[in-house]
Amino acid sequence: MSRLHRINRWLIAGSIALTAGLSEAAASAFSGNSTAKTSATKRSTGATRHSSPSVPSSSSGSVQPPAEAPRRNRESAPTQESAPAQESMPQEAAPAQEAAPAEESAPPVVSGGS
Amino acid sequence: MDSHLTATVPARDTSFSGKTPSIVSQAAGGGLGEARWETWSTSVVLRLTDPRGLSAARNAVELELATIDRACSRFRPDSEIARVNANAGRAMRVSALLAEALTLALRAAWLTDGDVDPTVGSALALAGYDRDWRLLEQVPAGRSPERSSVNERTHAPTVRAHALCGWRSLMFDSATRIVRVPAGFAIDLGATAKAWAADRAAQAAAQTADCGALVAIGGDIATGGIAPARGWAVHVTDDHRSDHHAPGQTVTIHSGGLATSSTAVRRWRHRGRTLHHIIDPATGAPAQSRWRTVSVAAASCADANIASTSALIRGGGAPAWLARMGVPARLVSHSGRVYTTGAWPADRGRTQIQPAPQPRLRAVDTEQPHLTGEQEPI
Repeated sequence: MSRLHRINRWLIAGSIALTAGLSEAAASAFSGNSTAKTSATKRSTGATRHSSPSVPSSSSGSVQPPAEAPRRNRESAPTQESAPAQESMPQEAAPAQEAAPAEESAPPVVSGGS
Repeated sequence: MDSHLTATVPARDTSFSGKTPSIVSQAAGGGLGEARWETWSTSVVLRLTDPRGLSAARNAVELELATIDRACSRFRPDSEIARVNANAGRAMRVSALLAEALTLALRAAWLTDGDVDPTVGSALALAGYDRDWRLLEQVPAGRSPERSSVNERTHAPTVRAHALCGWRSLMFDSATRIVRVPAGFAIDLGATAKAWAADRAAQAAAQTADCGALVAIGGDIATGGIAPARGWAVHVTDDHRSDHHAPGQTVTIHSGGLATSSTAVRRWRHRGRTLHHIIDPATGAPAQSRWRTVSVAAASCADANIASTSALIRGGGAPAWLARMGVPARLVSHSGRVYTTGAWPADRGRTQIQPAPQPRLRAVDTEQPHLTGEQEPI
């Protein structure tokens, strides 16, 4: 009877050891990372020196707004927006402007499509 | 992406770099100095708060523009970008300047989810924009920009071509400055390089003249140094060649940049169709936008131009996107209705779109799109 108990204990101890060994082997074979580690890896990819088209390294995350928004110009009244003019055929570029006489204030610079 | 534009196989004439003699205007009023000249087939305006530095500042601006032209012009066969395109499929090391331009172009693509795509060069060429704009303007009315007379006489074979776009397929290492354009692709930096050049030129002018400077290149406006007390007055309208009495709005800016993109200008006829230069990378064809003109103010002219170009391509989704970016913008529909977002100053009698999560666009949706007499579906 005592021999049976001893064999039983050896069998239990052996199975525990075997389970531990197999677990260790499985952990080595299929290594994984924690969630935190995965995030860190992604971030470091974005910070790499080598820029790829999908993750430019030297970019800010968005279009940068101006330090100060445009203001309404007090010296000019709004002009009525109209539908675009009819398509005009190609023409020679207008000649550059000659020197203009000095005025009290400079006319605005034009920003339009080009 | 595919486009279904039909193209012949043209013998390209790219020997013209677009430079023309310039005439300088020294007085702008209000104590400002001003110079105006033509380059890159468009106009350049330089304004300074101190006129005494005008000559030196202009030299600095011209040097900056010439340097960028040699690196980035798609229309110069001797430019660096032309060599990169000619060697598509092979890795090349580029100069620090072109590397900076490419980095900006890829940043633009990244920020806009590919709306502003530097790989639209093939699509632009396929649409007929394969030479300097001044040469394209000289094509007689009713003619396609390709050598139509040759085609008509010899019945040159016509091919069905597909424009390739896709910025993610471009390989670029900013550390080594090695770039590889996929075979069949071509880089066009026109969407970002002009505004970037304005930023660089304004900084160069301000440093050289040691005063406040404004540089406008074809309507892309950048500032440097300290602005005049009342700010720089800028009139936003459809066409940068208009004068300040053209329909639009005049605002003042004190720093950063302001850019306007429009489908109402730089249009040409190609194989019976009226096309424009804003390419939608999703189709490889000129964008069918619900806006005709979009103006944006940002921390730099490059960022303003990225946002205004993307807004044209995004169409109805543009106001919400601009509001998320936090940039003040002014959008004009084809019927002439004006909408503003962010902190753009409201114009009298205009509809203002609040920067809400879902901007009210119903008014725009119910409008009939304006089509010019020669505009046709693409």
